[in-house]
Amino acid sequence: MKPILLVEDNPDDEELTLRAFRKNNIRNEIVVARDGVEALDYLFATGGHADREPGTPQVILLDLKLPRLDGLEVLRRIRSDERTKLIPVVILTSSREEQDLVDGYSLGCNSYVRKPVNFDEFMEAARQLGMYWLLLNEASPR
Amino acid sequence: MLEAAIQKVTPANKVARAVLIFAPLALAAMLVFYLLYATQLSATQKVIASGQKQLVEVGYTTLVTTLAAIGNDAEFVSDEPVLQKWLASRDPADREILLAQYLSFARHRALYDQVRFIGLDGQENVRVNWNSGSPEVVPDDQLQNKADRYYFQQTLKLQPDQVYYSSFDLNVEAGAIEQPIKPTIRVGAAVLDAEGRKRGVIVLNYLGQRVLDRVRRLAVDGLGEAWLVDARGYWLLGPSAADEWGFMYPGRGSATFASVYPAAWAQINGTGKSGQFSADGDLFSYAAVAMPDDAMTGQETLSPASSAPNWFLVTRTPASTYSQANLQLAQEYLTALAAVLLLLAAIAWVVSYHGDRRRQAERQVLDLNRRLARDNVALQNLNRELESFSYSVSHDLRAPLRSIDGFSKALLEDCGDALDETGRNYLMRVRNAAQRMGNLIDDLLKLARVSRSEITSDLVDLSLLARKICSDLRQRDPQRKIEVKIAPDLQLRGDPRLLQIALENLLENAWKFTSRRELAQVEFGQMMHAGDPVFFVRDNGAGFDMAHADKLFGVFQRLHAMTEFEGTGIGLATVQRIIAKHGGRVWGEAEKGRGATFFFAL
Repeated sequence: MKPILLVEDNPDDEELTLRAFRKNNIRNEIVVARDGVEALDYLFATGGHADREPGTPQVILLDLKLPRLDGLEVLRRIRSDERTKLIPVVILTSSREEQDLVDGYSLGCNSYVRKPVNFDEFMEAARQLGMYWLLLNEASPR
Repeated sequence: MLEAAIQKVTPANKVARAVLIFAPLALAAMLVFYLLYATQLSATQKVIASGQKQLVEVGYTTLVTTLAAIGNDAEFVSDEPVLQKWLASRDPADREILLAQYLSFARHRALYDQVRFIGLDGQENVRVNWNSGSPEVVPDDQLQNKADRYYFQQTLKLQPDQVYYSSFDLNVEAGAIEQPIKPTIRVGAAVLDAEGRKRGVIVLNYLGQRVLDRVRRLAVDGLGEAWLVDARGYWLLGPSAADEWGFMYPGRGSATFASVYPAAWAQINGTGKSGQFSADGDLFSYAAVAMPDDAMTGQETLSPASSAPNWFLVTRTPASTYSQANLQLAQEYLTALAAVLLLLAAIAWVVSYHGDRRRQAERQVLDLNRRLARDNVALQNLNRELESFSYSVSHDLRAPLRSIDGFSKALLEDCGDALDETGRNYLMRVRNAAQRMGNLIDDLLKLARVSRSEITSDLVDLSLLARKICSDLRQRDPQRKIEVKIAPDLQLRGDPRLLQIALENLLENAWKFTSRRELAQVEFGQMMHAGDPVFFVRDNGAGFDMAHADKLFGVFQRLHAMTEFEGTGIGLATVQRIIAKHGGRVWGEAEKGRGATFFFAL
């Protein structure tokens, strides 16, 4: 099972997301990157992740508002590199600003999911995300 | 550049601008006037010059013709058959005929003061006097001997076909100049009989005053004076009577043309037959008048007259005539120029004044534009700030709420058993509050987005929109019994996205406030209101008290208890902003407990 890369700087959100996955019986390893740079380090096995096991995540859950390198820039780098450009990216963010939606899709995100305040809804979203991206969706062979 | 354009307009500026407009125009006008003036001046001078030339020509012709005519007369009279007959016969009867002939000749020619036949001895044989217009035969006892007179002596020397011309002078009678003066030319011709023997001479005293008068009369209309000057420079016809015939009055010391106008005289006396020149500012024209070819002249020696000019016909237009004409012309032009300059000044002032007003208007527009640009920048800054504010709100304000709700839920799930009912109830309240605040934030963001969004204009099918919204609402509450009535084909020009939000809010309200009705009724339609078509959303729900109608559209204003109907109090405020952004109006009418109707018109 390929891991899920969760790019999230808010520890509360991180904890709630992990909980939601756990509650929804999603067993994949969840790698958490707490800013944009760390996310890229993981993806390209550089920096602190230089000696990680090779492989790409099943899906990237990407927050937009991140320290050091924001989510849209991370997405741009992912999509402009041969090694990562086919990885599904789901933008998971608080923002529902039109511009973020437009920018996200322009840069090639595969989904855009807004984190609901209501944890019940959040649970449901996590469940559907897991169902779709981990089970239903056939990822690119490469 | 902007600053330069916005310089203050002072009266001095205004004058300076007027001067700036006026000066080149005035210069141009002056130049044009000067050229016109110069052209006309030169034309005037040419007219004077050519007038003079013509005058001299006419005068010359008059004089030459006259001289030729009197010479011919002398020859004609000397060759008269009647004279020949009398010379041959010496018959008194023939003399009578001759006298009659001379009388007739004198009367009809009207040119001669005396018509005489003088014998070889100098004795006047026959003489007719003009006698001031009544010719008379001079009685025999009054006939004189002229043997000592030069004209008799010279004429007697003539060959046949020659004519003697005396100098032009004043007639002398009995050693004194005859008064009133009688300018005279004596022309003579020899009289030969049939055998060719000289028998005497004919002498005609030509009355020169006539020809002088004719010449004098030629000079008219400001062309100056016409004079006749003899070969020595004496005036025969001159500026005044005192200046004329100076050579006849040796004691008088009269002025001569030669002495008064030496420069002109040098030109005339030295050069060709005719000409025109300026001397000391005066314009002179002249023609040398010569005698006919057969003329002989001289007092002591007899010589052909044509060898030297006898007289000069001279015209003079004094410089003062020119300067007077110039002055008059200049005055006329200056007057006209002054008028034109005044007009130009007026035009310059008007143009400057209007330009000023235009510039003022331009400056105001510029000012306004600048202010607008400034305001626009401020507005853009404000919008950006608002956007980043909205963004933070959207992101950062909602995250803690999610934590509150999420961990409350986690607490309930993981430690629910450790809590009693009250504890679990409190945690539920915490979650409800967090979710409500989430909704509030969402609605506020929507309102903010509506407020700052740019409005587009498309044809919007409101009926279709309403149907879609109602169908969504139905899915949300499938168990409710709701009768929805939507009028077909209601169309409107406006922003599709904003109108959808407005309609959503109105229909959602209708949906919400009819939730306690057994059979809810929601209607969307169009009706006439005060002569204008308006759209309306009507329900048979809770309605409201019209006393509070003014609070309907305020942000966070709610007319119902939270326990009764939930809501954030932002929906109608959003509707109102959208309709206002379209330049329209929205209002509500209701009765508590009997439903509400919301109207809007763009």
